[in-house]
Amino acid sequence: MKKGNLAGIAEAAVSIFLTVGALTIFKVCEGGVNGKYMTCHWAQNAVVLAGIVLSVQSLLRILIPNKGVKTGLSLSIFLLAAAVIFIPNTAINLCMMETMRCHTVFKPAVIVTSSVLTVISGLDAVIGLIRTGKE
Amino acid sequence: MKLKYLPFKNLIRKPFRTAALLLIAAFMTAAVFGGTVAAASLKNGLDSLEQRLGADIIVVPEEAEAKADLENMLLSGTPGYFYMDKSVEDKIAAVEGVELTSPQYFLVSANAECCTVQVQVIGFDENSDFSIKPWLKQCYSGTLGDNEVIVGSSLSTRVGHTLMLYGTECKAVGKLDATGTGLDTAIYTTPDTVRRLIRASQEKGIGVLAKQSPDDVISSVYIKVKDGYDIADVAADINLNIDGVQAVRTRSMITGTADKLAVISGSINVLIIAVWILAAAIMTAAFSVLAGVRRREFAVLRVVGLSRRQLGKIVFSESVIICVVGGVIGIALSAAAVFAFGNAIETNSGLPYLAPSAVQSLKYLLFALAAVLVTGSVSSGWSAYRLSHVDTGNILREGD
Repeated sequence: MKKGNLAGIAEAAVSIFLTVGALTIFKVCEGGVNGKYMTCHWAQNAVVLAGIVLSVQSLLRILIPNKGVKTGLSLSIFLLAAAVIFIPNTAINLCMMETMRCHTVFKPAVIVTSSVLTVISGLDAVIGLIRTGKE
Repeated sequence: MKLKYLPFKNLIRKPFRTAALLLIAAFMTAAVFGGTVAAASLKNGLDSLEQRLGADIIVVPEEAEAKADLENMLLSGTPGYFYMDKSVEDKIAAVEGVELTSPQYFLVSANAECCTVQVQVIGFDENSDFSIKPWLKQCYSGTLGDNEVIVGSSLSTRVGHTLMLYGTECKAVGKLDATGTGLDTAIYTTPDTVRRLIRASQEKGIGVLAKQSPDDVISSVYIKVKDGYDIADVAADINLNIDGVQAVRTRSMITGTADKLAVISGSINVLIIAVWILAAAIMTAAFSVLAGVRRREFAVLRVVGLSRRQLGKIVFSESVIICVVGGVIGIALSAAAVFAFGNAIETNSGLPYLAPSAVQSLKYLLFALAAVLVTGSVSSGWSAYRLSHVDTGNILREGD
């Protein structure tokens, strides 16, 4: 395993955790009203979609050998991960009661996971930019 | 290379050793910071509940479930409703020792429009109320009009937005600060609005009242006892002389929760101390083992001209770096758990949970960092002494 891929592997692991977690361990409230989905369902869909894109980008970040492309992908992951922080309840409303699962589990889990990804990819991008600048 | 960078280089060159030490420091700080914040949050929640209740006695219907419903409503936010004849309030006001009385009206919404949960509606009489108004005034200074409500902090409804309750549009004119209790999930409004909602529920065929008219009922009476009277005696008088009701001392309702909190806080404190002792023991052992392993390294440094003081400083600096970085990681992890998942802790424990203020949290943060720094420094002290006093000649003659 190349040392330069450590950050990429960490990014991929967190992105996959975000995607799979949003569908399993920290998924939103179950059920709906009169057969209609609750609002938090759409927030979950948005997080899963963003998670899939992040996972693909992280895998490309590992597989593509060009350092410039790696840095570009890290920057892209950084921006998208930072955007995901604002999906639950800011961009897409969650349910009415803050004691519901979407507020107590889904929202904090998504915010914490995407914040971790933002920090990792941000550091990775900065290190990549410095190294690219030196070469 | 400058000498001041040597501790950093040493740590970077041995990533697994550094990671293991960082993990111990992070674990210890997480336990100290997370534990103190969690215990403080539980205490804040209880204090806030005590302040918000504001009454000495609450009178509810005699039905067995009424008291349990009231406790669930106040502590865990489980919606409930019960009614008794409104003439009860006059009877209570006539009891010796009662200074103030104020009726409240409870109603549970059908499903609020956007989600499948029910919402507690609490109607209070603005003229006689002494328990809700003082803290309601913090967010709304006007007089509540028809179909106007003030929402608890745990409802995502924003001020100015409307809520649909039994087909009636209610406008949110204020939002309360968090209390960390079941009161955060309630909606507060006037008795007229509650009566209108009860009628609306009857029209929708979800009648909460079997026979009585909404105008003839109340749910509970909040009582303030005159100075010089014993609250327990007044409650006993009410229970003895007024049929069909039970007077509950608010203090007795809180006592059960306070006992539970005392047990939980005690366990947290024991856990913090246990983790602290364990981490200190592991750190001391780790630094001591490292002192043995690194004797040759320090002997070479001594030969190239470093003084004993400089050698001690290197070991000490390494331990400080590990404690600070590990401490920051531990604080970040535990902050994510106790702050971000505070609502989950409150919901699952059924106990009042109110996160401490920023200043209070900063104090706990500094305390946790200081704790890990002192522990790390003391643990590495002996190793620093041993390594700075290595017998250079003997060690280097030992060979491979």
